[in-house]
Amino acid sequence: MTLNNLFKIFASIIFVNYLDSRINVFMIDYYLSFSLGFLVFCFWVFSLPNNIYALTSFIIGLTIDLIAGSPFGLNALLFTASSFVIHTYRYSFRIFSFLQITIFFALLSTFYLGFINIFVNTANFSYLLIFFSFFLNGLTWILIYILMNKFKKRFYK
Amino acid sequence: MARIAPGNTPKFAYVVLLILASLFLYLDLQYKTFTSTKNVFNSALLSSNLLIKNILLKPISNLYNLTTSKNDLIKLNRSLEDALETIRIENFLILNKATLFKNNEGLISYTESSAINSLYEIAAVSSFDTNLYKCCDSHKLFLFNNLSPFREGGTVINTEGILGQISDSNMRVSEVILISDINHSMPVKLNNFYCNANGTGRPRILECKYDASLWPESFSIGDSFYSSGLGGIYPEGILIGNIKSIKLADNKETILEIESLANPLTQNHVMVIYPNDFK
Repeated sequence: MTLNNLFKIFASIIFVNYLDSRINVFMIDYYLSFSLGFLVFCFWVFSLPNNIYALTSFIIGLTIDLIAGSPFGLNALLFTASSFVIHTYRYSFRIFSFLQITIFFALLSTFYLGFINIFVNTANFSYLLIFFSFFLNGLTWILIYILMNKFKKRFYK
Repeated sequence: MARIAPGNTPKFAYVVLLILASLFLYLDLQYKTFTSTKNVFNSALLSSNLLIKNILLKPISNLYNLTTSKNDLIKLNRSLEDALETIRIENFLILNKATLFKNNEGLISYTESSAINSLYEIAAVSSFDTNLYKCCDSHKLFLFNNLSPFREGGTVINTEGILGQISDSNMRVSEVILISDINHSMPVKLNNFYCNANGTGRPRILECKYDASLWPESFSIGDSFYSSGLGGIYPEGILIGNIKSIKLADNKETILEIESLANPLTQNHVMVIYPNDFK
């Protein structure tokens, strides 16, 4: 993978993560929380499994920790773990239908959201938020899959 | 039974990095090892933001304003807004002078000893993550430093009341822990009843737990709580907020939920005072 492509991947995740934090301010009142940054990261690992391995995931996670002000290492841990899970199932995805893949990523983002909330929102942990966000992130995955594929075709060389 | 297809995922690298990330997380949560790193990064981010705004965006917006001949009006409006905010905060200080500063001597000595020739310092909010404020337990905001960094323990107020205290400073920005932060606790009182109002991690909500068998007090919704001054940080007698709800915990403790009057979302300027240095 060229440095240029790595930068594009990095920039897309950081930008979407920023967007995420802006949108979630309003969504949180309705027990909903997007994890757009994480889903875009998952998309890149899913579509470029030979290019994004442990170190890239770790560095992206650490950068997001720094930018988002979350406990240092939290996103790094979850991004690396998710990358491992996606890599483990990468050949199985070939026989999965799109619906199954959507459910897989919705579940993964629900776990991500749950773990984040355990660490940063322990006192007010809400199962309702996690439950609703499963459906929201499932729908978002479809949108991200379509949009990021277009982005990839246009900008990723 | 379905099996995971074999792949060439390098497990060793994953294991090493997962352990490293867990170690980082443990060190940060347990010892706050990376707090200064995060603050330095934050201030660098803010500085570059400001630089970009001043060098790139401001000239463009000024050019646009010149062509539409609204520049002066916009500037005047902005300065009036700032002045109004400052006056409102000053007004709060004047109204609460008696309680913020124990006596006139304290006020005079504070004025004389202050490096900045002022009773207080007005500071601009540099960044406030509203998403974290609404979603999570940690409630912090950052202020631009004036001539010198704010001292730890300084009380941060706005026109509505006490927002929090300075918890950390570096050369450019100071971190303020808000009273609703899960790790924050402030001593409050209502008549002869004293308790520690702990932050709940929910916007503007504090919690006071007490054993009803030890304190046979009766409260009703809407009762006002004031700072007791016992912690040595906040001045005594400032209205903090009103009781929003009264609950009974499992261990027979009573929980009073207090909604603070001060809302950090409303203003861009705050005031930092150090009243208890001169008690």
